[in-house]
Amino acid sequence: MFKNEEMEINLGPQHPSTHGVLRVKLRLDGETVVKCTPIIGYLHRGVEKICENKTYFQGQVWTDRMDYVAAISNNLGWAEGVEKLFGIEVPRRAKYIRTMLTEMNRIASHLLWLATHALDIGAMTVFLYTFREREYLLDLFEAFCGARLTTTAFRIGGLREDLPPGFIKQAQAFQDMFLPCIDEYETLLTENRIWKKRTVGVARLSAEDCIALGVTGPVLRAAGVPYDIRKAFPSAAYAEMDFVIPTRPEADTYARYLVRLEEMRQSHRIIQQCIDGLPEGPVMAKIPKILKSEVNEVYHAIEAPKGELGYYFVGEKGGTMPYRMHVRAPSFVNLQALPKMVEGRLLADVIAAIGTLDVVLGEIDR
Amino acid sequence: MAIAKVWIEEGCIVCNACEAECPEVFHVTDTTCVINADVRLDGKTTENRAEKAPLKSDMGQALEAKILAAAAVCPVGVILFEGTPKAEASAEVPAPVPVEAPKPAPVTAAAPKPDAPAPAPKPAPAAEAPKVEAVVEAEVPAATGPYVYDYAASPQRQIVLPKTVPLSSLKTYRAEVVAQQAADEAKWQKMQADYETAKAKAEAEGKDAPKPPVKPVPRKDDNDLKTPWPQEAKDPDLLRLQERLGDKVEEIFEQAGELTCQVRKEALLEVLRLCRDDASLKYEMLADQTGTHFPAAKDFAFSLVYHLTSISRRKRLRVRILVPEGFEPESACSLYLSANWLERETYDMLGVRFKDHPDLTRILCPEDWEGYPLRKEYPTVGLGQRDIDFRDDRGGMLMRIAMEKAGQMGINLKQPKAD
Repeated sequence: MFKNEEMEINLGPQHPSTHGVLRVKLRLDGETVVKCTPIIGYLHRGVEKICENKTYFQGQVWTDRMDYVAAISNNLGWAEGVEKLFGIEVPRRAKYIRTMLTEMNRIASHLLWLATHALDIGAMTVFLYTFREREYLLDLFEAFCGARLTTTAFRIGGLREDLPPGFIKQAQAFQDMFLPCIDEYETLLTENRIWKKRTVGVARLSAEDCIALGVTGPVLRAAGVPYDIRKAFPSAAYAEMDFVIPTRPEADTYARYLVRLEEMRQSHRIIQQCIDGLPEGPVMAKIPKILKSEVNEVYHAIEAPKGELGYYFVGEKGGTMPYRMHVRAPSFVNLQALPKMVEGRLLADVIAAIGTLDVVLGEIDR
Repeated sequence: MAIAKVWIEEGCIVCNACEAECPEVFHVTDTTCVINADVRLDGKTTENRAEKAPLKSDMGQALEAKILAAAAVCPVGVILFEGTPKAEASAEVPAPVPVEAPKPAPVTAAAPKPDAPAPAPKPAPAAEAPKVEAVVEAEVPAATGPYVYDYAASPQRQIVLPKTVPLSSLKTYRAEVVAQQAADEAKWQKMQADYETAKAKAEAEGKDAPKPPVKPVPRKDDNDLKTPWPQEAKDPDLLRLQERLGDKVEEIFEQAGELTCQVRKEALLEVLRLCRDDASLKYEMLADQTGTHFPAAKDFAFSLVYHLTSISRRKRLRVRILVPEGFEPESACSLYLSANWLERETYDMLGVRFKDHPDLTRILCPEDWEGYPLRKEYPTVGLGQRDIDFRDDRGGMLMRIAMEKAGQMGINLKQPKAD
């Protein structure tokens, strides 16, 4: 008759639903996951080692290649971390432009997340809708810095250039167009019966577990904890912005979906405030051409679309390169929670859990 | 391989570059350059224009790098040489292949030499990369054993260990400031004393008195940098930690708006537990854990930092311990679950082992990886890596590009020089 024994299978590293080269070793009892072990490192390039051998200006290029979906957030973390190390105060206009671009990037990242997450679960249509709007944003990035994904948008001390002519007009056009689009995604998914069956109550992670596991970002907020680094430790121009932190108490995949949708609306609000209140003035602080650090140690974290993105620098006296650079990648820490989310659940929920964590392997493996 | 023969083409401009690079072999006279007699097998001293001077075998071996360098620096590229392969028994190894040194102009570089044997692989045109060393023969990969990177051949890639210990600390900073002030004061005293003696001397000789010294003021840079120096701890959290832990705290200070608490390495778990559970601290989350390697430090090798976040109080705290090589700090997994992967990463990258860790295996590198990449003695190039030498034009690609470029300029490379 049927043998009743556990089976071990590998999900990935080439599975399309693992969002990169992630391998998940699963021990299954029938369709139930008994044990789940994520195995990473397939994309390890040694970014930290490389950045220790590059100057502070050169290292920023490598941050684009970590979370390639949200490169501008990575740039912001690097630039502000280095500025903290040297004690550089950025002009106010530069801060506003940085905030605006980072929020646009947050929307772009969430759109990509929504597209792939829905695609994994089986809702194909959303993919086509969200990529339409993401294209607008990538065009805006291209207008600003010449690149769509690997932006290197900011410089240490501010920005290399002011906004190009016509940028504000284009950004406003996007603003006018975007809010109804979110409602459009909602008509496709929010009350969709299949979507709700696949997400409601799936991959729960309580607030206590989130905090113990160091999980940040929308996953933590969907567990009811209003922790957002933009509010808790505001950098750039976030202290001057008016926005709310969306939270949900349910702590499941559906709640995370709602939180991320609401975050897009809040990002939209922040961009509008940046456009309306954009101050005049220079965009670059006066800094020497060669930055030589003193002995110092900083940890600077920003709210990336995935969670807390921290840069840890150790400066050497007279050094033009960081003595030590470490990245606290949000996906790396969040992925640790995957076994907790799926063990004892069905195999199909693993796909939903990976999607809802919104991992980017370039950042996990660095 | 070693260099068997060296000769000099016509066209030497007597620039002395080769003699500066390799005085053992080359000697520049008033009109041309000759090969020294004492390295030559035949011992001749005549000027050897286009006459191949056979070298003594040991000389060719020992001076190979220098001759290559001299050929590379020659601005007109008239130094030519011929090599012999090390293992002559191998059938695949082609006969000694003469290769010319790089030349600046593509026309001369690509023009085939009349005395060069035909089957030689064409050297890459020097117009692409005139500074690259000449490769005399295609490298024959060794049949057995791993590839060993030759650091001596590329000095710019040698590992330079740091000589300082950049560990931020209030005590060190204060000591530095005091030492700097003392040095400034001593300098000022010396300036004054020098002035007095000079004045006395000038008076004795009846000359004008020298100018009195001016006390140097610190130079003010015209930029927006405000270096965040370490400051005295004023934050209530740090003071409370010191009050509760007493002499287990080694140092507390604030820098760049961040709180740092350095504790004794044995007391790590106790400190973390206090930070997590104390009602007035409540650091619930371990945001990050990492380490730094300090090879120049005497009584420790690594600093390990734990970045704690208090979500309810919106605060961050850095707990730091200094551990020597081989010391195993206790794992924080029993307090913070997030320490699991973070400590695995620290182990993977720095080789610091943690006591009582549930699964201390490599996480980013493969299981059988050797060495710990983020230690300072670990090289950035060389381990399992090969130098790609673009002079080694195996597919003829560089030649084709050069032909195309020359074609765009209207030069026919295939046409021999009229001489």
